[in-house]
Amino acid sequence: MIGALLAYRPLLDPAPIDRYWLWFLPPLIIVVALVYRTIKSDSLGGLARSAGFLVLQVSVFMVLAAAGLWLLLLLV
Amino acid sequence: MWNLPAAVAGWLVPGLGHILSGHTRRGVLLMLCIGGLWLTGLLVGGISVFQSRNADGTIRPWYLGQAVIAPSIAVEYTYDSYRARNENRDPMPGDEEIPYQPAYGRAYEIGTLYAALAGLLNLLAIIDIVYREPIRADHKLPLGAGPPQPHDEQPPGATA
Repeated sequence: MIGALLAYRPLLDPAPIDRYWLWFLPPLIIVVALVYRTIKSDSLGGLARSAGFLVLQVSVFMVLAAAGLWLLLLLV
Repeated sequence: MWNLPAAVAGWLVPGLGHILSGHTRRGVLLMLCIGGLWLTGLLVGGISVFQSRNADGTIRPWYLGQAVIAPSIAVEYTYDSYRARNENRDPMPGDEEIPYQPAYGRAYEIGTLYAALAGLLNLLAIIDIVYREPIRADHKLPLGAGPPQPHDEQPPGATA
């Protein structure tokens, strides 16, 4: 890991993330929720709360979808 | 009326259209979120995730999303010029010069996904600023509205 990081040239080479790629998915949900709420809300007053609620909704739906697909896989 | 100059500014730098139209906080938020996502994609995947064409010459659909942020086109041009110098192929171990490492596996997937999603979110931001009323810098009022009147400042319930 240290060797791969030392050889890494930012912007030119891919980062050595193969073992940690799942950690790159939650920030996507957060950014999508923040951008969506920034655009849709008339006022930015309650942005953190409304974006947080949207993050929760998306996360719960994704977990439910994953559980449903897993059950489907068990049944078929 | 359509705010096309702000849309072009938003395409060049995410959030800049909102900032130029007076929606500074909204623009800074968009710049941090969308710009950060795009930059993370570039850092994770390297320049090789910005390919406009597949090996068979067909257009790569992910690039259509990435190109909604103008700097993607500059990165793709740089990547293309590296490949052109190397007989239109990625560098291989043993080559004399290896200007960049092509991305494979998860780094390629995450880098491509981040950059393309940043482009699609920027498309939403561009559409938003095309229709959003600009704010005048001096009074923070929509363009076309008159100067603030004395009764605008009165607390609710007060009589004139």
